Amino acid sequence: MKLKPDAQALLAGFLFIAFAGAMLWMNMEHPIGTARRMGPGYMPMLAFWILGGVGVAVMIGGLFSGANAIGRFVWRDMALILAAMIVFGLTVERLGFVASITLCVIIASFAEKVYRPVRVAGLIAFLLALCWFLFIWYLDIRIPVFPWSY
Amino acid sequence: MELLSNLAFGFGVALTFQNMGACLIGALLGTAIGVLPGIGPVATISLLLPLTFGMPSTTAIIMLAGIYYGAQYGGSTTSILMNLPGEVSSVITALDGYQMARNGEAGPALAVAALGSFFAGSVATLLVAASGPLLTSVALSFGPADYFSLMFLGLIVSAVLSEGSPMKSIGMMVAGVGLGLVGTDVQTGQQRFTFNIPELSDGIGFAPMAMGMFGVAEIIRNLEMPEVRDALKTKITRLWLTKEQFKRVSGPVLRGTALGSIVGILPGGGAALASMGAYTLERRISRNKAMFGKGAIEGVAAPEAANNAAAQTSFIPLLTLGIPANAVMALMVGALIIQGIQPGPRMIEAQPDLFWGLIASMWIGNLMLVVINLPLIGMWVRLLKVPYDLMYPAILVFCAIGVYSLNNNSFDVYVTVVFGFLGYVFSKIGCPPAPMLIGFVLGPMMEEHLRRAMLLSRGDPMVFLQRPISATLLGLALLAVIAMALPSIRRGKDQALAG
Amino acid sequence: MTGDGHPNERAMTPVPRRALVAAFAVMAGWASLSMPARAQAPWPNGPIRFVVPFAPGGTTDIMARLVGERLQVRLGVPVVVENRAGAGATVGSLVVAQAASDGQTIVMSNIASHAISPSLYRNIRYDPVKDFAHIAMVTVNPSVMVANPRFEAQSLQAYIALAKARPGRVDYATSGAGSSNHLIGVRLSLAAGVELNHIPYRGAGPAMTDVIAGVVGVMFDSLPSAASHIRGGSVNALAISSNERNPAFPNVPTFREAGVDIVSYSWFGVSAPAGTPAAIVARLNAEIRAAVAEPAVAQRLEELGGSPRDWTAEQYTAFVAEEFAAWAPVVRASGATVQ
Repeated sequence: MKLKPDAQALLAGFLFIAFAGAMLWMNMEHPIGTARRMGPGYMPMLAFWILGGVGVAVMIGGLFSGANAIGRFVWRDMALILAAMIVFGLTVERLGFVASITLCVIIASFAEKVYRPVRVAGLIAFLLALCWFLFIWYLDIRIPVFPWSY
Repeated sequence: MELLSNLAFGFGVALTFQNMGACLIGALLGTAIGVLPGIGPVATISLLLPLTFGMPSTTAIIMLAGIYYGAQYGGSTTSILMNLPGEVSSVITALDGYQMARNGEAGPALAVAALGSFFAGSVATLLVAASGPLLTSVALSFGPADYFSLMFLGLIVSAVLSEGSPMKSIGMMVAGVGLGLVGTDVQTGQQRFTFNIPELSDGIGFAPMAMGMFGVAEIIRNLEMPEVRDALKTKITRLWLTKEQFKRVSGPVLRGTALGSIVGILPGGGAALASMGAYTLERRISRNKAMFGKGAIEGVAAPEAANNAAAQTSFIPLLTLGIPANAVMALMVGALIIQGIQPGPRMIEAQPDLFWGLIASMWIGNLMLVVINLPLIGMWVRLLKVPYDLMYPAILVFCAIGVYSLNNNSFDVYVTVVFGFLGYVFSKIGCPPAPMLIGFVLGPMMEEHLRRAMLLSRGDPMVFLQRPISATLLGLALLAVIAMALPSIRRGKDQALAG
Repeated sequence: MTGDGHPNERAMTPVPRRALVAAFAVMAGWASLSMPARAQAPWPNGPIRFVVPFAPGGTTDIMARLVGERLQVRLGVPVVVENRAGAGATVGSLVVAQAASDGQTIVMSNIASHAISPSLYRNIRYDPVKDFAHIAMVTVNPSVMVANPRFEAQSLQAYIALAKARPGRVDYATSGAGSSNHLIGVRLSLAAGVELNHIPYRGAGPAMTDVIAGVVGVMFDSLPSAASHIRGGSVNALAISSNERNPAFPNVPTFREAGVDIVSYSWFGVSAPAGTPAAIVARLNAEIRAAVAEPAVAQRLEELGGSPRDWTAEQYTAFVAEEFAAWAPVVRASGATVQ
């Protein structure tokens, strides 16, 4: 067989091995126990050794399976989307969901190529109305609406 | 016929104005929370509990049950339209359902989900009525060793769920098992891999993980290729099934119903295993194998039928033993106790109106759901035409609120973020997310049953082969492995010959 | 039913806001939904958050909802039950320990959150005694030892004899490691000098299933969750962990009668963050005691196998401190300590 490295498989295998290795290292503090009375570390030990083995197999297979590039990452868009959610999480309890939703939508909208403030404002107004109707009025979930709600 | 007179009695109870109303409200609320990502029946029912204090007990339980199976219905909608599964069974529906939506077939996908669910729900309800007490023995005949083997079989078949390299699928599955072990060890109370974060002591939440890996990652992927996602909008969609599609789904729906009805009885993980099993079965026996994972309608019909059938039969342990099969059922026990009814083995005799009324209402509720949901399909499909720059922030906001509301805790929002990132990375390296989620759900259960079985057998592993149920299941797992290995072995030979 | 000029109008009517439900409720004539309007005192100021540190549907949740519903009527403001489960009830308790001490946030304190878990878990960021103003005890429940009817030992003595004959080969199931029921098992094996095999489950439900199925012969369970199974005959009660026999189950002997000196109760009370003004504590204490004394509530609690306690806040505070101190050594002996 000819050596035709597959970047996707190599990275996947590497991630499996790295994850398994890190978890096995952390698992050292858990007692393994015996087959009869398995300790908290027994199943993790089994699972992560298997994962490590699978990772090795994926990597070896990846050396021969043919070129398969990883493709481009849209780092900026990804960061914006994830940041929008993080900001929501950080602010929802302190500022209430009105402010949180507004911030979340504004940040997420930057992931679009063109930023259209009017469109975004309209979307925020619509979502606030919809979310208030659905979550507060209809389902009555426990979520602060304004900073002074509780 | 005693059954007929009992059912007539049940319909007499369920068809009163008050109980019909309760059923309708439950079904509507359930649909709403099912459609909204993240918000689950547990949160909704616990918020509604105070309201049920003032109701007669039968009315209360009819409404709560409506929420539960209504949510099962609604859950498929978001999975199909937006790739946003909130629970395991919707993960399976999303596999082919979302692909169908991308192919411009959201209408038929939603229609088959509704019709399949209705059919399965009706059959399973009848089954509960006819032989609920008899079927109780199924729930009691599964010991820890049998559960372990069942979970093991589930894991093995989950490896064939997705497209692409089986090795990567297995890797994702095992990694999922590992992630499932995060949290407090049930047997010793030890904290594993929690980094001293109290929120992690109960493990990683399923919904945050699933919504991150599916929903959020999908948004990022769509932002990557604006041309593709806009092209999808122009594809027009039919709303209804073609005659040929009808023919194709009848078998899968029947098999899904049968499988779901049986597996649903087992407390713990029943619904998840049911839809997974039904999907895998169809994928194995379908003449349409190549379409699976790319938008096969059978891949929506079978798991939807299975999970709705399981949703109905999961009432059996509650109604005949007084034992809740899952968190929603536990809430119903709570509701009953507050009403002054102790759910237990004597409930059918002691509360006949409750038992038969609930069963009749389940059928009525399923009918209501299909009547409500079919006309809604047009609206849902139109939703797909909303420009994406308006759509994705809305999805994000709904995800965030839904996930937050699970425990009223921002921590789950951050978990979603982490898995959104991971899901995006995995999609770049061809690692399918579904096996990871399934491993995540089954892994910890498998560990629990394995350890319990070994404790009870005093460390003798032969118990897995001595018990007939367990041995049969392990045999099936072995067959699945052979079936999985055969094509690749054959392919290997062909390549060897060609090379 | 509207917010009679209250600043937080939404919260005044948490339930009827779901218009569909409310309209229907009115139509069907459930009049009990309306909240009586009361004169506005400085406290309570808006809805009260009643944190339950366990998942909905469990015993603690049921107790909290029974009391919360009556409290809502008595105080004239909504009492909103909020489930914050996790880490042996410590997640929800921490939320309350860190909340403002204005009497608007209370917690259903219990044997797990305030006596066992603080010794069991390593990273507890609250002191179960100092960080709370303990307000009132609601009820105490004994635990009960149940057995599958086909199990060979049908009395506590027979069970101990069996364990002596076959050391380490006699099992018992519980709802989980570190639960008060597990600790009963530990105490039994210490007291009787036998080796018992603990089979922990994830909650009482799955454990009871396996006892009914005969997978495990015996289980220690809290009386509320076992009561219906005992009444239904799917399991037999062998012994009860209270001081005296329980009026609901007069035929079940106590552990002491059966010759093992174990008395164990799980308990449920209400606590607020430390520093809550004494006047508010006193008012809440009075209202909770009155609520628990209401015939309907008292009857429900008794059906669940609980006995209500009519205690002052001081009595409850002293009790919590005692329990916390008493359980620490038992938890350590159980070996279930989390590092």
